[in-house]
Amino acid sequence: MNDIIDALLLIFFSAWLIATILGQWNAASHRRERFPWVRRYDRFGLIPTWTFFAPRPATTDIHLLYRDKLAVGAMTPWTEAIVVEPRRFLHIVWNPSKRQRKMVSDTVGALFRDLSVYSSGAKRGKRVGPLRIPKDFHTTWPYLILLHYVSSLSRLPGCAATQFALFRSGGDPEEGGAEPQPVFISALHTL
Amino acid sequence: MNRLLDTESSLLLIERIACIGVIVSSIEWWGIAPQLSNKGLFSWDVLKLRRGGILLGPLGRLVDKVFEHPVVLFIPTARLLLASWLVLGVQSAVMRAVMIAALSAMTRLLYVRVPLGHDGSDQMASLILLVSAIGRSIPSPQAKSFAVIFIGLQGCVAYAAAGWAKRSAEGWRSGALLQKILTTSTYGAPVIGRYVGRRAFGLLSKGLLTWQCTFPLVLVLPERLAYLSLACGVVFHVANAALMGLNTFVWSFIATYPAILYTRGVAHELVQALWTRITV
Repeated sequence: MNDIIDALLLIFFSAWLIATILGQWNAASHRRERFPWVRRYDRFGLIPTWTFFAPRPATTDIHLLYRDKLAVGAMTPWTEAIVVEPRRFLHIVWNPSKRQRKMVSDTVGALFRDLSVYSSGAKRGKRVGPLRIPKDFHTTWPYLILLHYVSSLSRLPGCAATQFALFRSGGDPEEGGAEPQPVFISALHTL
Repeated sequence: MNRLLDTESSLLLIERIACIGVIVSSIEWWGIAPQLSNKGLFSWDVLKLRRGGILLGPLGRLVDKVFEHPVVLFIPTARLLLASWLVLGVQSAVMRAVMIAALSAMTRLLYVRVPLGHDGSDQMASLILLVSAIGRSIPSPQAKSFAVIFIGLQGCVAYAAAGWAKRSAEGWRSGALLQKILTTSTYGAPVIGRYVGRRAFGLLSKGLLTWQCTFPLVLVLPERLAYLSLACGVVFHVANAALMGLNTFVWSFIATYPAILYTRGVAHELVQALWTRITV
């Protein structure tokens, strides 16, 4: 009986390991997906992605900002919703803020993936740019996560509506780094 | 006998190191607890809209109750208590299996509650706990050994995959991408670019790629070289924690090292047995 259990366990772990190895090709691929079925059938998230920061890592900082429209009609200046904490020596053992940073990074990644899907679905010849929001895009999950967060921030009374934006900063340090540029601006939403 | 530690000792050490990472991670979740409220970045009100599917009826209400703040804090609390207990040492084999399974389930539950915002250290910790729970739960003499070997091989695949994926990008081979990452505020510090030149980044990047791509050789290399490669891993993770803020990677990836050494021992025993069979 033990031999049968051992054999089944060996098959199970071997299949899992092979699926893990095949799954890395998807994550590492520059062009087309290889073995897409590996992740398609991974309903429980058992296949890890080990290709950290590769092949194309994020080499700029993304900032989540928001501004409000006051009841009198004026707009407030853009304010950073989450300020990236400067690197400290303590981070070697304790760094809770990395969760928020990663959450924003994952959400922004998902937002741009959704945006590219919307863009490819747009009428031929009428490409949708990152600063022009496609119709119904405000109902997508990443958009709602960011909108919900900035809407929930405490603010002074008299704000009628809010909007958020994603700015990209950084770039090649030898070229002095790029000035922050807006890469996405949401619509105005009533508070 | 080529194994430094026996199966049970290896598994215990793997679990203990991984559990230290779980303790740090759980306290960190408590550190950002307000973000799990309905006004926070990890609000259940909006995270439950994933894939447009909201559970309705009594089950939906129960899930909402469990996942809403402050009840949701039972997840990091349970993880913290279970992991602390496992680090301090639970002697009973049955109790240890139950606790590892419970910790693994709590870790999975955290993924359901917060599907975004996890990193590679969470992936590795989650994998170690699940595999360890399987190894301890199955009543077979080989189950634990298979679990340890699987964790060791996953560790090797993790480093090699990261290395080979980087190798395909020219920016990684030249060091330009390493420089760009380390000079962002998110995963480095802009000040680093002022003190380290591109040539140094190029050398560092080449060294990193060589070490990661050849990492699985640790299973067949002579003992001293194998230890040297693992020591490079410790330096790599500590440097990542200091420069990039990836502190929990230190625990979850170094937790695989006893498994890698165990797997190395098994591989050497197999080769010796095969050699004896051929030569005798």
